[in-house]
Parts: sequence; structure tokens; C-alpha cells
Amino acid sequence: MSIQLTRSKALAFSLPALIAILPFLGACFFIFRFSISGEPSRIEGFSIQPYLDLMTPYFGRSVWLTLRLAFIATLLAMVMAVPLAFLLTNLRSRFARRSLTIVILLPLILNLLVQAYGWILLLGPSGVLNSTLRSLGIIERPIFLLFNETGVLLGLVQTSLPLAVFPIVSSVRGISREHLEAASSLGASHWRTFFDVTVPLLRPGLFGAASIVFAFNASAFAIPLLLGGRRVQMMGIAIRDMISPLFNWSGAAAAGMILIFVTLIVLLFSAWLARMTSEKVEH
Amino acid sequence: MPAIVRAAGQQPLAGKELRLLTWSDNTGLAILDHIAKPFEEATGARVIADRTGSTSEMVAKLRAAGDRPQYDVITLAGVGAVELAGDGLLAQPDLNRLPNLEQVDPRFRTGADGHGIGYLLWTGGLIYNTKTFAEPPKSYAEMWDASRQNRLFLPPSTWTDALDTIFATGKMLGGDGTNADEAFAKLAELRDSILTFGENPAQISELFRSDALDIGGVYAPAFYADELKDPANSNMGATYDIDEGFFADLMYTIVPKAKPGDDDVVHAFIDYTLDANVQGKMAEAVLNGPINQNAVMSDGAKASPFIIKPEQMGDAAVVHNKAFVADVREDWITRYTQTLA
Repeated sequence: MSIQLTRSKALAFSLPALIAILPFLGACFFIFRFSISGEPSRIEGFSIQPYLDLMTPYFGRSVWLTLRLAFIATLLAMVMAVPLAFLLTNLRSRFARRSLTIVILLPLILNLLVQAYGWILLLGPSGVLNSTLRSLGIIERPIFLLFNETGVLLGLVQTSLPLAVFPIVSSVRGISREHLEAASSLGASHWRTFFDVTVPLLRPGLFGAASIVFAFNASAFAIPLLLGGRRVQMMGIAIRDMISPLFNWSGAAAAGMILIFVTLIVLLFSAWLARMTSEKVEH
Repeated sequence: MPAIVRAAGQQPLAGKELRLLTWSDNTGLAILDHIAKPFEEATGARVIADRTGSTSEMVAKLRAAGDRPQYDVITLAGVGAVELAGDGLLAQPDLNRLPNLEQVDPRFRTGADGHGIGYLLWTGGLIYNTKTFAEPPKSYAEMWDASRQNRLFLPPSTWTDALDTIFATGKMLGGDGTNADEAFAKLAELRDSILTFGENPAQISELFRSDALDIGGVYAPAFYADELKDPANSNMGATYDIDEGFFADLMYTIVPKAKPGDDDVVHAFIDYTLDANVQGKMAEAVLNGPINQNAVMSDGAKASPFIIKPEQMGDAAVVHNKAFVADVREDWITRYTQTLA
């Protein structure tokens, strides 16, 4: 059974959500306006100087680092999310399914600070891993998986995994058994069925999940701050440093606009790729 | 007990409130324990404390508030007082209402054109690993030693200690510390040696304890009063005996021009920070140098090499020209971040 809503009713029901989004759109507008302000600490006049000031090797490195870490973290999260999504949809025990769902959701439920300190307790210089390796006589001085890009990647993958799993779960549930049975009855092996039938049908869901995870990771702030030891200058950190202590609001706004723009480009490319590949499948 | 409080009888400021902004680290905690709390008990006033990371953040907060500040009193590094005074955001406390000021070394009574009242001396040198160094390092050049690869920490860009580090590098290269271009070129060589920036002093302590760090600076021993007493477990040592000198900065107490609170309680609080007992307690708790010449300290604290008393400053102490530092601060913070991150 499906519930059909007229356009006017749908609009009426959506009104609270639209109103809730308005302040965000307003904030985006002011960030844009600040980014072209003639004064660094207040909105006054017009200038593209805040953007020109960002044309430095340092900011270029920060953009590149942000894109690279967000991309790698997205790739890793997706590789882990696909089997998890299949497992979740194939579990017959309701208890097991709910338990696994809660475990996957935990990174969304737990405070980021708590998660970061969890990593420090595990992988920090006096953490479980280093203590164990030391007590076994394997190392003399601690090995470092935190306070560098590795630490930030671990944190990004962990925190974004649930965002990857659940859209894929929806796509997996949407795959008709008839397609798989037809492939099987025509003699296709399990792997052939997976790559020629399952993956193409999953593709829109995969691209959708990857887009959300990428956008989430590209705008990360707490994880690079806590697990990067202030050495991994992703754009979130660079923007924060411009606001305090430099008080360069227009520069921070310009950097924020660049982050939004770059993320949008990646999302649009992802959507285009999903559409193109879907059209191929349909043909 | 300060004279202003004694003179006014018991609980003279009962019912009044004072909004204090101070640091979020252990030095801020010491202010709450050794200044704010006993002040409340002595006067009946209530101190509402807010704590933040660094002087730069305090400056940013006060600038953002403009003519509607949330705070009555702020303790911060000298350069912050000079910048805010330059912005016209500070009031000049009435020195006649600060009787304890008479006991303060005349060099450290006021600053920032009378807008800052001396508070304590913040001193910075090198922090080192006692396992790695049999003797304390004698030069900042130790940080450039190839064996420190990935075992070095530096202060974060937002701290005034980062400005000291730039100065120290310049002096190490033979300049007077203001030779910033040379210093930044030299600092760039450290980029791949840095394990972390010391934004979290507790984390730095943990890294020394686990033998993950060899050396770092310019950094204040003030964070490590307990660790420095027990180097066998903490692996931590600190030294001011450095060829290029150590850094001493007079911290100030300032009062925003349009503060929300009462003048009496503000002056009573500032005077209380200068009390001989309070200064002694703060010196012992966080190794800050007392500026009250009669500061009451234990024999151990008097003999401590980590608490610099005004009479010990001598030629080795590098005291910045605050106007110069205020002038270059933003540029140097940006360059420090861009050079090392």
C-alpha cells in the first residue's frame, strides 16, 4: 500500500523542515558575503582579496590533503561497508541483526571526543598496543599510529562507516531475488552474478553512500584536531586557525566557500557517474 | 590578607560577582584554587570563571565582544594586554586601590600603558627527556639534531611560546631574535622531525613518560610542577640554562573598559593576586615567578631552579619588546603554521 500526497499537502507537511533549513541557508549566505568582504573582521565593502590571500602553497597543501584523506577514507569505508551491508541483510536472527545494527551505529551515537580518546587508549604511546608490544619485548620505544595521517584516517573511517553502511543496506534490500535466480539459472557463477548483476544494481546506492561519506570526511574537524596532533592540517583545522587566533573571518569564510565548492564538485561528479553507469545498465 | 579586604571588615563584598577569564590548563586551575576560591572565602564575592586555551583566544574573545565584554578581569600574557590596550578596549585600574602593588618589584608593577597590572612571570626554556640527556641540553640547536627525528615537540602557533621559539631560533643563528626570515627558514628544517605540537600539556607529559619524546621548546616548565619533582617516572627535565637564553614574560591582569561588574570587587581581586601569600602559593603550584618581593615560599620553592625570581633574571632572560611582538604576532603565527604544519 502506498500513500499518495498531493503537492500542496506534501508542501504543508514539509514546511517545518523547510523552515528549519532556512537559518542554515542564511548562514551560508553570510559566509559567502563575509568571504567577499573588504574587511577581515567584519562585513564591509567588497573584495576578492580573501580568496587571493588563500593562493598560497600552504592552503594548496591543505586542500590537497583534505581531498586525499577524504578520498582514501571513503574508499576504505566503502570496502568495509559493502560486506557489512550484505551481512546485515542476510542475518536471520532478529537479535543478531539488531546487535550488529547497534554496533555499526555506535560511532554516530558516541561523542567524537570519546571515540578519539578511545583510539588514544588503544594506539597511543602508552596504549594497549604499545604496552603489549613493549611487554613482549618486540619494541623498546612506542610506535606511532596516531598524531599523523594514519591516525586521522583511522578516525575518519571509523566515524563515517555507518554513513556508508545504511544507504548500501537499502540498495541491497532493493535487489530482486529474481534477477539473481535468473543469472544463476543461466549458469553464471556466484562471482559472475555478483559483478555482473549485483554490483550494477547496487551502483546508485554505492555512489550515494560514497558521496555522503566523502562530504562528511572532507569537512572533518574534531578527528584531525584530536588524532592529528595538530600536524594534519585538513581544511577544517586551517579554517579554525584563521578564526582564532588570527581573527581573519573573511579568510575563514573564503576557505569555507572553497571547501563547499570543492565538495559540491565531487558530489556532482559522483551523481553524474552514478547516472551514466545506471544508463549503461539499463541499456 | 590584602589591606583592602582587611580594612573593610568581614565579607565586605558579599553578594557581588566577578567574571574572570583565565587559561584552561593547570595554570588556570591553580588560579581557581589559590586565588579565586580563597578570595571568595575572604570577601564573600562570587567569582564566575571562564577558561580558554591561550592568550590569542582571549584577545579574540574580547575583540569579538567589542564594547560589550562579558568579563571583569582577565589574566593573560603581556603581548595580549598590549594589543587590547592598543585597540582601546581596556580600562586603567586605579593604582591607589592596589596597596599590595607597593611590595611588587618596581619593574613589574604595570605595563601596556598602565592598562595591565603585573601578575606573575611566565618563563620558558627547554623540556627534555632525562633518559636521553644525561646532562641538560645547553642550546636550542639540540632540537635540530638528526637523532630527534619524530621525537620533537614544539609549542602550538597560537601560544606566545611559539613566538619565543622563533626568537630563540633567530638568536641561535646569531641574530637578536627579530631576524624572522632566517629563523623561519631554519625552523622549516624541523617540519619532519615534529611528533606533535604541545597544545595539550598533559599529552606532552604522557609522551615523555612513554619515552616517545626527546626534547621540545620553547615551553614552560609551569605545566610540570609534579613531573619535574619525579624525573625517574616522568622522564622529564627542564632547563633555563641555555646559551641563547630563556624567555621571561610578565603576565598581566587586565580590566575591560566596559566590564559588567563592580569596581570595588575588581580592584580587590587584582590586589589579592599580588598578595605575598598568594604569589608564593602560585609560584609553588605552577612554577611561575613571583613578582611580590616578599612572596612567602617554602625553602624548597626558594631553591627551585624552575621558579625564576625577579632577582635571578639577569642577562640570560630574554624579555620581549611587547610593542614589537604585538606588531608582528599575527604575521608570525601565520608563518609559523605555514612553515611547520
